[in-house]
Amino acid sequence: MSGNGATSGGDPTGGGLVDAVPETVIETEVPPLELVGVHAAYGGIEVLHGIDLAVAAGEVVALLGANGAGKSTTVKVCSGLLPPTRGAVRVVGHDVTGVPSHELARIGVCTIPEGRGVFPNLTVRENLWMATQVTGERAELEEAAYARFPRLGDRRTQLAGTLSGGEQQMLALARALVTDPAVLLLDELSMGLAPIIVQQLYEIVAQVASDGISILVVEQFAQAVLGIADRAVIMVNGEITRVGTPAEMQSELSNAYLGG
Amino acid sequence: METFLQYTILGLVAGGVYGIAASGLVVTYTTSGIFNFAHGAVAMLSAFTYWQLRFGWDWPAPLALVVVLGVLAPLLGALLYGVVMRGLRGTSEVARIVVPVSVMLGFLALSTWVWDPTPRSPRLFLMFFGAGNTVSIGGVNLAWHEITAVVIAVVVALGLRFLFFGTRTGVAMRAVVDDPDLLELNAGRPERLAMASWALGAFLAALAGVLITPMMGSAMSAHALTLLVIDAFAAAMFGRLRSVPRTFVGALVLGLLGSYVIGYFPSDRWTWTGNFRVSLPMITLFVVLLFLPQDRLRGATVLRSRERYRLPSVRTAVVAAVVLVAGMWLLRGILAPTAVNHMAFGMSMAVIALSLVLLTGYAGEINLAVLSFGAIGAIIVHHFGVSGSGGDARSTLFGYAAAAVVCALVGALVALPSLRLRGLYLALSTMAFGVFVSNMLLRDITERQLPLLHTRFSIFPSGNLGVPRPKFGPVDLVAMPTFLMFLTVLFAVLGVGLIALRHSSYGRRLTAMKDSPAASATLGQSLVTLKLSVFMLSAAIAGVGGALMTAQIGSANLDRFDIFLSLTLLMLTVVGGIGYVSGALFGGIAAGVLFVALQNTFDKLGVDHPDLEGFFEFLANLTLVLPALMGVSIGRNPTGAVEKILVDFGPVRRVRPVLVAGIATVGVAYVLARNETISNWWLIVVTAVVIGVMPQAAKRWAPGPSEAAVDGTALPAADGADLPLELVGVVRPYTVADREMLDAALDVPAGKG
Repeated sequence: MSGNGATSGGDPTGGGLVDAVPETVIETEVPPLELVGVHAAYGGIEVLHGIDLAVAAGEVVALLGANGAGKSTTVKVCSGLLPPTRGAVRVVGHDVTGVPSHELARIGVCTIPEGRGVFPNLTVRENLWMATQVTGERAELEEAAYARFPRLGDRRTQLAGTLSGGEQQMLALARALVTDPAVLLLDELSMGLAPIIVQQLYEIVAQVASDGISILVVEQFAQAVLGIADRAVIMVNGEITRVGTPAEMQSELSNAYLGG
Repeated sequence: METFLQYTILGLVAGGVYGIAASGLVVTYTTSGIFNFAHGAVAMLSAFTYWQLRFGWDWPAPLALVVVLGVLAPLLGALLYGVVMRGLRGTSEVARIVVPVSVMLGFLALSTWVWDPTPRSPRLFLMFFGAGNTVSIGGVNLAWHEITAVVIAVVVALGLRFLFFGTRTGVAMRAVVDDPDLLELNAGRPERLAMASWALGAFLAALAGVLITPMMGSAMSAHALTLLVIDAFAAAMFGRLRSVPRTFVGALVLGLLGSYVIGYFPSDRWTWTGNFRVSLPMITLFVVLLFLPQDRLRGATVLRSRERYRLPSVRTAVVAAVVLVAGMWLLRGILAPTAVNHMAFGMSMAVIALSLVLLTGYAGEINLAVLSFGAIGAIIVHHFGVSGSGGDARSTLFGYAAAAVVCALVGALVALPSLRLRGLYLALSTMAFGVFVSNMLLRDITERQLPLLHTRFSIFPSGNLGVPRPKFGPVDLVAMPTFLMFLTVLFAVLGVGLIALRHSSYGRRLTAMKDSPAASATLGQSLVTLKLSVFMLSAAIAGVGGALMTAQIGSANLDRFDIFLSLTLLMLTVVGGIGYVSGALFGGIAAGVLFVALQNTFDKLGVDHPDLEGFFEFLANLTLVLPALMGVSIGRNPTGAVEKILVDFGPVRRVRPVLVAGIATVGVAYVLARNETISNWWLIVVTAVVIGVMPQAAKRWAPGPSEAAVDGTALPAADGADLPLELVGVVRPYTVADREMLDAALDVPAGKG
């Protein structure tokens, strides 16, 4: 569910994200993704100190914060790459704490990790083929992907590593979306991309949310994502310090990054 | 023309089998990033097992094939990955090379355990469909076995191509190389895929093994089989260890070259033709390395290295050196003459191992054929460094100096092609060099006329290289106890020198290069010059060590410089701790003394107690496999045994009574042994017990950790009292006390940040 209605004030990218779908987040529904008191550690060093977070169906939640705040770690916990030391991860109400990534992927938690979420030495077609491990037939998935991103169709036999940065993220998004996930986790989608490309990518994300997918977006480059987010969450030192609408968050951001 | 056709067909047959073996190597490398040095050993074990089933127990061939190729080999591959190789993620390149090498050595030891290497009747491995069952193709009589081999090679090549590009599993196997985490996020199972690829790799090795063994013509030999498939490395290198089709092309080129050498080199006039044929794959490997494009410079070689070496100060090193020399002096007094002999041999190995500490421990580069440089050193001293004759013959200082210089130059030649490449390629070229030295140089026993000089010369006269013990000026080292002390002093001096070198700006540059080649290059460091210089220095040390080892024995045959011994020495030094001079001492003594002594003891016990002979034979065999098991453990503890001992003995130094009591106990035992009141074995037992007990005792009587923590500035850990601030939270996890201490040290108000 796109939350463009919540953003407006002073956001330069907001204007391009008009979406006709009304806000219908139902608070009573069981959230597709929920973190309850999650603690996580690398080796003996704890980096998440009790995270509570829920993403409703069709909601876009922006997870913001400075370097090292624990944003990517939160995504890793959600995607099953890092089991939490305490607390629980729930998907549609079911406890999935400690469930490995490949199983989470099958039940509809789809992640595009930091950097480029593609296999550089596989062709575009082969990259899409990998999505069939989650669900679906190869030909159908390819068709769906090329329908959404025609540019990928032109480059189907090219190695993913030779695509431009924007095309690589498109491919990553395509591979994620064709599996029809319930939850989409995006880690630093904008990294190293031109602002115009970032804007295009987030327009797609907004559309996807309108189909009812829950989306958690991690960003340092906050402006672009605030344009489409329904809610923004600010993390500092492994804790959530503020939750609010994107408009409210605009003013808080400098504090989060500069540590006031 | 007909000859050409014949040799071409024979070459294609050989190339096909090389291709099968090499493609297995590519399959495992691409999916796990680990170069499987044990690939040849898997082929060897499979061939022996097949022989046992088919010819030892007379099983029908199809059943034996199904059991070996269909069950045992894939199982072995999967187990290898699951138990050993999987643990190598995040370790340095050294561990990722040494562990598979250890597996290879272990498999070799295992095969000699199960299959007596000198059987009463030679093991014959007959061709499938019978050797006489031939067809004439183009004037060449080809056995059905050979035709089958070619057909299988074609099927394997096409099958692998289809697997990797036409099936989801195969594409996923390629995806594992790119990004295992991403694959897992796409519901893939990277671990399972890697395991499957290792099973497939082992299957291909086994297939190559059973096909190639009967084609070798002679009785089965574990070493030859293991090394023969190592030849496939060269073919795999054509495809840069990644491309299966190019690997097959490389294999065919190799097969054809080998065939043409046999066909067209006059074997009567050129006595080295046969040796050249055997060395050809290694020579090819070397040439291919010359033409590989430059590797991209990388930052830190591993994201998170598990190895950490402390660097002792030069003063500590000097104290340790004096203790070592004094200890050896005392020990020498109670050792029997044969034991002095073994000890001297071990110390000469330790000197050779020092070259590995410099090269691998300090600079992160790898030499798999250190004893081959030793062989060259010995050859130089034999030819140019002996004065006098008969019983008065002595090797001269000039000889050793010449050996050092020549070995440094040869080292430069060997290392130059692969210096711009990754460490693995340097390791492979040293291995190629080692096999080349063993197969060509050390087998070159015929005398030949030298052009221009009008003298006759043979490199390795009659297969035995005599080097008398040295005499430097007035110091005559002919007596073995004196020679032992000389070797100990030499080791101590070189060791202190290495530590001083490591403290110098040169040493820091080496470490910088090891940690991050890219960062080091951007700081204006010429990596090639640096690698070349350190490789030359290391080769020089190895050369001198090898000459001294030969002098210790008196004369050495080519087995003394075998590539497998080089690998064992490297493995044991890594087990000891490749970053430490004491690791070299451990490696040398273990390789030269410990396992030999243990094995001799068990053999002797077996003879003394005929009723328990089987048991002692078992122990003796176990001793052969043991080093390999230790090598495999490197994956778990890559920093080595010495580091562990240092950590354990950390508290001992602070608890005086325990330290004094321990030294006193050993001292008393020593005096008793010297008086022959107790035997030397008891001294060893007492020393071992004391070494084992001291850390425990020290822990028990050490000031408790809580006492130290009361003092606000001290770190709450027994071994962390002198921990620099920047290492807090790095060498061990943060605690609340650490945080408070850091706050205090940085003058931050408590609770902030």
